Amino acid sequence: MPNRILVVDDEIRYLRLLEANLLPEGFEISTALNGEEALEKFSNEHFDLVLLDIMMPKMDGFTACQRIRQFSQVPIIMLTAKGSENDKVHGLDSGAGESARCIAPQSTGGRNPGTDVHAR
Amino acid sequence: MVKIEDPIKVLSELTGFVQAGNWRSAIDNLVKTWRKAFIVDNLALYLLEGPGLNLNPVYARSLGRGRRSGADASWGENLANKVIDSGKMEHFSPAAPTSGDRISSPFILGLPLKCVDCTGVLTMIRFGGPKFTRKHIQQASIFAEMITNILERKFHQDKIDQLETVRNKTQLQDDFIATISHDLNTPLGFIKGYTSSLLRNDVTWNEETTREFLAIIDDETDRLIGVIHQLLDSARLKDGRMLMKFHPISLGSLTKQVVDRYKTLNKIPEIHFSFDKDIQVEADPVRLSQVFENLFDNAIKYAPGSPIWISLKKQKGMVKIDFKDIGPGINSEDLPFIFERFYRVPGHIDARGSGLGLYICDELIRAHHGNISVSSSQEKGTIFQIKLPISQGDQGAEFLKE
Repeated sequence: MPNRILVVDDEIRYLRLLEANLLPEGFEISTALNGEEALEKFSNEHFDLVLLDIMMPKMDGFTACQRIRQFSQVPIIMLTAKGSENDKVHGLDSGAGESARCIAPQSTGGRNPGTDVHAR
Repeated sequence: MVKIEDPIKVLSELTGFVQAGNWRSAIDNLVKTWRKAFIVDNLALYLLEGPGLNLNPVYARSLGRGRRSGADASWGENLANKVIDSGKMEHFSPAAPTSGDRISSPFILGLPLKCVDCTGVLTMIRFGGPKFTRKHIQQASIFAEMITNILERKFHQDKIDQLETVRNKTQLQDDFIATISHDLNTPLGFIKGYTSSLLRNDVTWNEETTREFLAIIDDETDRLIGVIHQLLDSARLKDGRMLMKFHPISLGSLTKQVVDRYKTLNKIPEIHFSFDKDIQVEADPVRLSQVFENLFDNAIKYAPGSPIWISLKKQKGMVKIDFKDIGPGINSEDLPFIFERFYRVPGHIDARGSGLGLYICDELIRAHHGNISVSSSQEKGTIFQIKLPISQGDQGAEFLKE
């Protein structure tokens, strides 16, 4: 059974970039544009991993993370272009994975987030 | 998680607790009450100020006898200087009065005031006595302590105000840098990301996907170019360093050129452009076109699918250009700020855009001696209105005289 990943980000191009790079690894990818959509998808489908952007309209990443944590222990990786210490702590506080990793758009293409996921 | 409050905010609150009201009225109140138990006619406060450390009077009240003499009466300036020199209480009793005139017999007491940020003197003058006894001096010293407390508060308030100003300035600079970084890094990130993806050794992309990625790289490169141009324009305009070349141009033809260009782009369903007669304005055609292009780009972004109406009308030596759409409109809360540098309507679907476009339009139109304004509502859409002075004569050297 292939692992299923939910990618949440308000930038369509970013979703596409992650999706395009993760599909060749054999993952099944589902995408959502904001926290609300993410929760909707979550209630209908099963996921093995969630990649969650912080800055989104309607419901930001931290809130979405807390909401998901209310009913699931699925691993969550927070995504942010900023990656400040504050964001990292806030992420851990909201229930994200043991290391809230920060993946900036520039570094995604070169490095394969797929291997990072395997490593966990 | 321990939350540390902003020290400046807390300092302000502390200051408010100690006593409301400004320091002058605080001292007025103190003096008024003090005079119920203590005889004093003139009272003055001197502070050592400035780089030259001059002893300046900052407060003076004429309260009792000698009120009418005003400036002629003594304020104890000489004694104050003596207090500064010695650092101690000084007092002065006049020689035995020869005439019955009280004013010429001032008994003066000078008390040093010292706090962290200030050195000063409190002088009290009694015209015609009674003499300042030891007890009087003790009591007056206690009073001087209270005055010192109030002064300390004044200095703290001044410091807080200064720090607030610096902090606001720094905040603006930080925001500015953050916005620029973000606006440049976003397209760069995509260019890098999609390029690296295409170059992956372990994946072969099919032709459709390859074209898709290349199109995104192309588009993001254009965006990056656009952001850089906007940043440079905005910086030049802000510093007054934008070179513009004005000459009389035909507004109708210029507008038509821009309209035709956007018609071929096919991003706007209908563009209606009308004018009665062509009108000449004194303008830099590149920059004036830029303003119209910006309005079109905004309409595409924020009023997608809406037709656009542009009209030129002559009105008393000015030409009025209306740029209208029937999109969702702009919130009344955002309307006053829309021409501000970096202002972005919060929570908008299109997260991209540096908030510079309308700022640049405003500055460019001002440089053309005109002005741009906006009116908008949810039901009717948005109208941007530009007013420009009509050009007089061929030379184009003269502007509107009215």
